[in-house]
Amino acid sequence: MSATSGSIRSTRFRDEREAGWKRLAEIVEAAEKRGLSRLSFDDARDLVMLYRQAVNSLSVAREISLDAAVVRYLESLCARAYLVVYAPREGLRGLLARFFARSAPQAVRRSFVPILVSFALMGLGGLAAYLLTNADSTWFYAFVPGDLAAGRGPGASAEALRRVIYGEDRQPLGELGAFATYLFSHNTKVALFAFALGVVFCVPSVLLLIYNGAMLGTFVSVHAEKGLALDFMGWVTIHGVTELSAIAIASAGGLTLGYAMLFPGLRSRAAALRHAGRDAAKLAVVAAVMLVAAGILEGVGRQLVTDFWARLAVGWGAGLGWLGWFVLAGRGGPGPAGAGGAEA
Amino acid sequence: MARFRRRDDRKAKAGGRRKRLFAEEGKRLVLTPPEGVPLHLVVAGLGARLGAQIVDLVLTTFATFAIILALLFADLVGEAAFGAIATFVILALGTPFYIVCELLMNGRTPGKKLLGLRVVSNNGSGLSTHQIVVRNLTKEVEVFLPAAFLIGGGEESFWFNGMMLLWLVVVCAVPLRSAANRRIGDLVADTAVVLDPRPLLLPDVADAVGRAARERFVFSSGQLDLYGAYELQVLERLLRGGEEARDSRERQKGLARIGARIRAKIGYAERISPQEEEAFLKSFYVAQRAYLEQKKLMGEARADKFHREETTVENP
Repeated sequence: MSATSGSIRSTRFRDEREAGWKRLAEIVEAAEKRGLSRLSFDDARDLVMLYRQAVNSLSVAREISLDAAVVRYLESLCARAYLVVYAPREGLRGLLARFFARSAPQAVRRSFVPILVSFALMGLGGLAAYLLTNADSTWFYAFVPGDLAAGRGPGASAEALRRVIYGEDRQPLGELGAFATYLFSHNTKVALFAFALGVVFCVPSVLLLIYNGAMLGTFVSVHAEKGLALDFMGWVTIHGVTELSAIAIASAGGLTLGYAMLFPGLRSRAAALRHAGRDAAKLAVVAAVMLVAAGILEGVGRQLVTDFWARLAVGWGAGLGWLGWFVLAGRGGPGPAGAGGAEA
Repeated sequence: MARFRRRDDRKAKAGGRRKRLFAEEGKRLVLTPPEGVPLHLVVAGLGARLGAQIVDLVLTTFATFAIILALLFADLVGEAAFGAIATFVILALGTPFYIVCELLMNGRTPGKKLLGLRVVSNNGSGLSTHQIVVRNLTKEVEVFLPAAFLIGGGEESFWFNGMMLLWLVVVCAVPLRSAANRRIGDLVADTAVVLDPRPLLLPDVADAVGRAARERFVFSSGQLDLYGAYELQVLERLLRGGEEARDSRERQKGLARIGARIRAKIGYAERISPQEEEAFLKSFYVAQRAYLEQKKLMGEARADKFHREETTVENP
């Protein structure tokens, strides 16, 4: 074999193809450095062709060549080129447009049942806490942690409660300061935990939902006792509709994950989790967007809009806006439908 | 799709020495791209991943401080607006930062790039946006929360601390137990973190052998029938090993020792002078490789001198 052409088969194999490999390595290097879109026309055209050839060479080299250096080189070269050829191509703008116009509302619509269950659980907790606190006002302290109550317990006077509701003792930081504190507030954490810990067989999500509802219920009870129920509702509504919906949607994501863990069906648990994660992750992002919006409503809206009916209108208006986005957007198959783009 | 291989010392001893070839590479991940040829990637170690995470954390913290300080000194905004903007910056340089980085830099963050790591999709297709979002959403609860707990020192509640410690154990145990060092986010998103492959083409040892040397040393097929692919590759590494780096006299001695052993084994009668030792080994290498490659082509692959059927070094 070696005598006929002066070199052995695998050396000839290498000599014939080495120029192509080197060129591929150069193109890949350039693409990594400057980005795929800045490649010259020739490079872009050759990239895929050379990649296929290199993969082909690797496959052949594994079979015929005992030169470890070549096999190893091709292995790395192909992996590197594979990562460039199959890199995500979509720009950030296209991605955001697609998410808000289509995939987010579609995911919410698909998760209709878990979202409904979340709202029901929250309502259940609220109702139970309302009844309990009505019967015995000391239940309030069981439901509300001290730092959140801010002096609004059963012992507070109607006057004090009214002051909080109508913003006569404004927060020293003002509107934007309130927005800032909101973002790190209790409810953001609740939403995050309800989503992520749902993996543990739904249990934490369910508990957090009931508990969150319970807090609302017990506040309503305390205010109702002083005849301020409607005023409190107005105060809560302006951002609460958005915020509680966000918590419910995040929890629905958690419930979806937990359900996949509990009842994976014919799939393995990991596969079921992965499948459920497709919608759950979108729900979590939707919830995050809604929480930021709720923060703006709480920080700006609540301080500026003090009229009861105006508060109600803004709060439910925002709620209707979200609902409209979820129900109407992204119905018309593929292609950007701009129905809900402005919402975010 | 993916199969994993973990180097295990006991197994390696039992299974023959040839596994030592991959001793330095640790766990490997097999991806099958749409072209259908499996690619072998080296899984990133936990230390490297922790390092990348720390680099990213330092970077984001530094950027956050820089922006806040710039705002403070520029004095463009009021106190309240400043608080809001600062909060927003802190939030934006958390999870969204990682998502955008991995999206735009093809599975890398600045820290990963520095340490030569990269996120790949486990199923052999390209990394999707969904996968990047999922693996970074869980990062919040999986990495940042336990880290904050460890630094902050927990709260008074016994239950809270207990649950956090339990969570900490789970978070640490998953990547340690996982076949490719995957954390929970990687498992849910079906991704893995690998070392960035660096192609380096070494010259062919067989190229360096002149025609004269090959005609000077001639081997019969009986003499070439003794060794297998493993021995061939050991010889290749030996011939490659530090052609200029190592002390030439040491190298000559080593080559002479190996040459003597090979000649004893194959029954090569002629005595070789020390000057000719390298030429002898190289022509033996070429002849052996040509012989084995031809056998392989005929369907008789030989992994080593014990005449084991080649399970192939790449796919055991």
